[in-house]
Amino acid sequence: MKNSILTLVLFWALVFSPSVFGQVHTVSGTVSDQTGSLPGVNIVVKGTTIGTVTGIDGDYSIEVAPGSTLVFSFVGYETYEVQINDQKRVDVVLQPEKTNLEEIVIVGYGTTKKKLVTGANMNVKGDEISKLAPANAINALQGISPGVSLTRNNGMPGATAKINIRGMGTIGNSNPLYIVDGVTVSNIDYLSPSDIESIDVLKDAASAAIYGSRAANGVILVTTRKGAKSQGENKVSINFNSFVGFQNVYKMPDVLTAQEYVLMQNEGRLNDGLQPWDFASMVPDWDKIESGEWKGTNWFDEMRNQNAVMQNYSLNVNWGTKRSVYSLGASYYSQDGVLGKQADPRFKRLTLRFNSSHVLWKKDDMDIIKFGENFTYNNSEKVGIKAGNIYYNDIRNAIATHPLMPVYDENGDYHYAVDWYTKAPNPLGFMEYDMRYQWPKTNRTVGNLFLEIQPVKNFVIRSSYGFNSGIGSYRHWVPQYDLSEKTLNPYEWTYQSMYNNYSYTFTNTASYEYRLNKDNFFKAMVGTEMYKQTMALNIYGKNMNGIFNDPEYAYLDNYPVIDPTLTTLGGSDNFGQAVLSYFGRITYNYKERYLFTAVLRADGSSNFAKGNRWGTFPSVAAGWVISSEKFMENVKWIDFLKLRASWGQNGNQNIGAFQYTSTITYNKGNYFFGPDKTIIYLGGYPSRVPNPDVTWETSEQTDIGIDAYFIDSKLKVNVDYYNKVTKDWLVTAPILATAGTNPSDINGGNIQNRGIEIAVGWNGGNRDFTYGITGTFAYNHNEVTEIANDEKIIHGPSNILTHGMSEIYRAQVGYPIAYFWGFQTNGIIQNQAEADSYNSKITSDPRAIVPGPGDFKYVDQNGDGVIDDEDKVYLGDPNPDMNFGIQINLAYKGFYCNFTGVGQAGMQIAKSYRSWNYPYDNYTTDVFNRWHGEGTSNTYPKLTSSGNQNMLFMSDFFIEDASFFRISNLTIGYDLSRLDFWRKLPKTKIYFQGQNLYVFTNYSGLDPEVAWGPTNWASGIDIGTYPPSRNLIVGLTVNF
Amino acid sequence: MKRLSYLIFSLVLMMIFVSGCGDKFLDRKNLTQQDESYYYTKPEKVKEALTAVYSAMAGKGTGDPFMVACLLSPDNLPGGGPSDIAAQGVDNFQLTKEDMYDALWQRAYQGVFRANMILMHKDDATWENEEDKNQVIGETRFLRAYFYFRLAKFFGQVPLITDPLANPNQPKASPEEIFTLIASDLKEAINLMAAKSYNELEYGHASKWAAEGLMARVFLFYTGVYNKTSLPTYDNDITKADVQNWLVDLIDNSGHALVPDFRNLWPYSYDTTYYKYARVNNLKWVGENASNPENIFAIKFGPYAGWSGDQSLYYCNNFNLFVGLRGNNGSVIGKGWGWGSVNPQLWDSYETGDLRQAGSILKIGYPEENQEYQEGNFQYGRNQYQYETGCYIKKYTPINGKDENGNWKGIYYLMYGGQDNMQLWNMQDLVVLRFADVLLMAAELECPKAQEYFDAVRTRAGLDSKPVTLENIKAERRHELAFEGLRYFDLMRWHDLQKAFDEVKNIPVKNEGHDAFYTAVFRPETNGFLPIPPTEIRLSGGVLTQNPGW
Repeated sequence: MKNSILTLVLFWALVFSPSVFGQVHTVSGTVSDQTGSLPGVNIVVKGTTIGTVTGIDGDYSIEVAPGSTLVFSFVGYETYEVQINDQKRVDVVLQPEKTNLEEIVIVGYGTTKKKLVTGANMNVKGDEISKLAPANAINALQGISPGVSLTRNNGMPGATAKINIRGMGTIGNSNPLYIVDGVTVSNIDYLSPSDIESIDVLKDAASAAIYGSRAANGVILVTTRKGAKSQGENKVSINFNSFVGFQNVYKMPDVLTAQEYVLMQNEGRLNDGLQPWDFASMVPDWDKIESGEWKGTNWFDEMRNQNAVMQNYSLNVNWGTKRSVYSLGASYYSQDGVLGKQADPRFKRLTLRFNSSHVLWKKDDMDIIKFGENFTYNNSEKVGIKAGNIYYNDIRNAIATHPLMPVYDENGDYHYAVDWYTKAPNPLGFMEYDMRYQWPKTNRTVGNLFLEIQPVKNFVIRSSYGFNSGIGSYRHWVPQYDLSEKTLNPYEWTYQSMYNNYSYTFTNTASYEYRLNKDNFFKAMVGTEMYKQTMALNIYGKNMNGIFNDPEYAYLDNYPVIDPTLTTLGGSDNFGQAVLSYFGRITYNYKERYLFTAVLRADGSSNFAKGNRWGTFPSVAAGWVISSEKFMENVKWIDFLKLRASWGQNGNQNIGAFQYTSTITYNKGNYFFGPDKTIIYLGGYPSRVPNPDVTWETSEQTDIGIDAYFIDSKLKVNVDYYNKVTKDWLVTAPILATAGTNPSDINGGNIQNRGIEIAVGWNGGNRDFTYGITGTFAYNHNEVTEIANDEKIIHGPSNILTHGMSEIYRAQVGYPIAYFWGFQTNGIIQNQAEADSYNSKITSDPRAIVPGPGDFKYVDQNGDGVIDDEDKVYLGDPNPDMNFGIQINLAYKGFYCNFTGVGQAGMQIAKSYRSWNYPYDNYTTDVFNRWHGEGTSNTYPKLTSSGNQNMLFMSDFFIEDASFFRISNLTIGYDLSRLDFWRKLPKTKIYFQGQNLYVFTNYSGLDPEVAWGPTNWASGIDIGTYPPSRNLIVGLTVNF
Repeated sequence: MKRLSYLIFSLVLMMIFVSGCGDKFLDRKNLTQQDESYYYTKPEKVKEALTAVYSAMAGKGTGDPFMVACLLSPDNLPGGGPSDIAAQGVDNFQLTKEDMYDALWQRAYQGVFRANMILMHKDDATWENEEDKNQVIGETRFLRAYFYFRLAKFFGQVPLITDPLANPNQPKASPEEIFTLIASDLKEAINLMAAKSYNELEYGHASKWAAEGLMARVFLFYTGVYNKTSLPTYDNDITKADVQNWLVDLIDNSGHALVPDFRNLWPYSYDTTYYKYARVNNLKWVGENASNPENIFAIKFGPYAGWSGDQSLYYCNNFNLFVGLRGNNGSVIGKGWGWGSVNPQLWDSYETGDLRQAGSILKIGYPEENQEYQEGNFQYGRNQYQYETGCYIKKYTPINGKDENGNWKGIYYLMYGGQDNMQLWNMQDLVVLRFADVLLMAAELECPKAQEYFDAVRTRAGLDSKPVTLENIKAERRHELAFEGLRYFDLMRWHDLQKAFDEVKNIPVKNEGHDAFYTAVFRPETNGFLPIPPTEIRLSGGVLTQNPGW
């Protein structure tokens, strides 16, 4: 194969001989705006790639052939063109831009002018991201990008977010496709926000179709920073950015004090007709609690890390020569967690980046051979605390553990479980022992090398080899501990693992721009792409009973004894996932007024059996720039108006490998023969019913949109309507148990997302004062329309909100995905008469104890006198109907201010911070609303001393509306260069920023943004989530 | 146009270049998993596949055939704590959650599927020794019969799946069809497996003897429940005389025999240092290996149970865990979830002098029990224990010993290691078929030496001879085989269920330490069978129908 590549390259180099161009002369001058010289302005000879950039004083010089046109462009300014005849000096004053229509945006294997875009794309500049100082670049998209629904997974350092572009489209992997500089990656967490030049989100099918195979969930294209060319000597621009912030818990849970807790516990006892508890015999320091001297332990407060530090340092150096551009970035970010200080949660990220490109062979204004590379290296370390389900969640443990236990015993060790509840371990000790001693190291290198050959003008062949390589290791040590009768680790142990993975994306494209005449312009591109995972090695080992008993020595070598009951080993290579693609695109425009794009992509995926591997994904899009029409010439208040429409199909192939065969598994198939029970006999069986027919999932989407500028381009409006139907949804649908093994993935359902996205912006001001307001709004309606089994349901798991509760959410035809499902309550039974009346109508209630005063009245939906699963109904939807955001930017004489607010509406959360069959769990203060006598409550049932039957059935009691509006960012900065004494010093800005300053919501939990769900298609389940912190930041940017 | 032709030319070139790799590029070899298409071609892999069939036998909670059979039986009350509403549901013929019995249903069909796969591929492998092949195929047939018999006992009529690749959505088969398959499989198993003495076989594997014994149980159940005189197979019907011959063969030729002291069968006889009952009666546990001639077939466990990765909770004995005393800390009698409290009427029904009374039931206040199980010392209502009767299952209660530091640990953990966790360390064999049961079945089937067999069981229990009548056999089975998952189905085949439940009225119990009364519920409209999991019915799109009464 290597030979073929070489042959191909040589072939193209030889076949085409460059043409010859006329005599040239040098033009120089300065570029400025109203306030002074402008460095970094791009100057190109029109129709060529010859160009330069202005230096620090706005000066430039360039060689130009007579009769050609120079184009001056700079972000935020109107492009200026001037024809060169024999002038030697051209000075230019650029006017601030009214619109960004001439801006170049990325469309996938190419670029286009924003004006000519026919799909629903969205472009966010790196500078906009950086100024929000996010830990993770993707988080900055929240609220400013309509149609991108982003919910943070939790507030842990370095935590990621759950992203859906235009609604949840699948029950499988719903992540968008990430492409960084042409390389397929699984996420962009490895990048520093400062390395990002721009993020382009391709939302509609027509835009994403060029990535056909894996674009069903949308595409996020990231371009890292590049240098700019300069004529003559090297021009270096250096940008240094740093901030330090302090983070604090935004909201504390209102857990009960020891005194309140004791009252509630005794009330439950009395309700059950039992004697009050004899706390004195079970609780240490009971006298201090009784006297009110000690309020008990607030575990959440104890695990708080006040003023947790976050800091960032990033340096970007860009420079260029006549033929080469370079960009270098280095950044370091670190963040401590606001909760769980005993386990020291932390995130550290070092990134190094080097991008360059070079024109190797240049003839006049034409780059014949150009090559370059983009490399990013990342080294990071992320240590968190347990944040999973109710059995693995340190935050929940801190909220739910009773307050009657001191943190430390008299020796200063973590207090052992007290007699009051011998099963409840000290949550801080439990967290520290399990989580503190972890050393994860990840190293990731992502990059590409590319070669561009332009044998004849406007005909470009591009070959890019991109790779994504990761190497990492992990060490974990857990000491021997004993915290309760249920919570003990009998042997200290060490876990060590290493992984190494590598995938490449090899892309070859040829594109040609062709102007038939003045009015008709064609652009065509064809290409092929090969993606392959060539290595995914993983090896791990765990062993117990070492010779050091010290985390520093936590290496497997220090565990000499191999014992099958204590030692675990594993190693695998998930090698070979591959996608092979052919694609092409034709764009055409007539006078930049009528726009047309057609795309076709064919993909083959190794995830499917021969015969089902290939999928073809077409799309068409058209645009009509109405404002260019004659009849609009007199409509002065409309500066630009474009109507777009697109239709297309995308695919998804993201399922496990070998679903089309029946592989043998040894999982839980072993048995024990013979007198010695320690001898394990391996048992193998076919892991699933094979589905040789499994094939592509297709998402089909229609989009209609308007882009418009009004009133001297002060008002900017984008509106999109879309209808996205995911067909043949790849899903593991439940099958009959009589099949005897697991189901395989099938193309088993359809899901529809329909919605509207609106972005409205207003910019105004004068020389001293400028302001801009942008508002975004997105509405999405999600509905499952087909599930290919007879039940039409995919069930959620049990034991989610509380131990002992069955399924609380499901995917079902006719409902939004993962909707909450349970009983509707109709108040609380207030007295015996009401109880008798309820029990006379309900002959069978699944509560083992006959409902009486203080218990829920469940609604018998079908009126059959039996409360059972037939009476469970829709209780809520975790998917927001609406996402919205507002961003305000103000600038006055060097002062500037940014306000960003984001919100979601129309979603519900299922919440429980305690397990209702563990009566010893602590309550939050909403328990004061409980029923404790006739007329005291109609929403919260009576307390009981044992597992509360009212609370072990899913009902609307657990559902809350979670609409919110968050002031996510407020920045006030000043440009020190405005000060007289600073003029000679580097351009410096200083700013203060508050993040997550206030949340408007009726939700009673810690934070209304809850992405957690036990399966990846579920969300909005709050069992105690690491909440986002409130941060105060001071930052500095310096430009040399 | 010339340039356009470049474009087309380069496109063609790229196509050729990439197609060169083409489908080969997309072919992916599975490096870490085997495939069903070749797995069954090697004898050692077929043995692995057989191991996985055995592995499907174990259950947990309402998916555990022993636990469910025990709760269904009128000799046991629900027990457990307030969140164990499932236990109360089983006992009261009520669904407290719709798919309460899904695991019971699923696990059996997993076993059937794994067995069907072996039988479908049975001639794929080349065996050096025909006897080995016959043994493996015989065991597979035995296990398929075991799983279908289990399904037929609990659910009545169930879909009959014999081709693992066929559409699994089948309607319920008739009892005749189901029992034809069971009887044919067992007959084939008896014919295929060699007549080796039990201790020549690896312990835990099904033997010819196990197949003969299970055949008798199947015969009694089918002819009893469905009022038949013979058991159908795909060729000749099996008559009572056939079964008698198999039983006599088993009794005479297998090498299996009664253990001299009934109490030495159970792990409580292990600890004569701390356990007074074991000490004063000079007990000595026979253990769970070839030294125990009485166990004919049992479900076996090991020390690798757990929640993570390749571990499975089915590797430990969950019946031990579920029936263990609630909140019972620091004692020779281990701890569990307290399900299946013993009906005190059972204690009272034993004849005076029957060693099996205190040998099967832990009774609070019984003088030979340890100090902490004496009235006054014993604390009722621990961990919100419900339906406590002062009588607890002793045969299968977890037993602790002391480790070198003097801490109480499960005896199996002390012997075999594993995780230091009371939920995972129980490994007692769950005895499916015991020689005493064979003797009683032989007596009930009127074998020539019926009286001799019957008396052997009674003599061992310290009792005198009694005439071998059906009435006497019924009582004997109740006392000999208590809590072994047989009582409920014995009552069902004798058509005695209603009668037995009618007696379970106003049993004094303690709920969380407070006095109350318990009356058992039996719903005759169910015919004693359990509901098919409603999810399965929905998934079948109406092909499956719910059992009567549910």
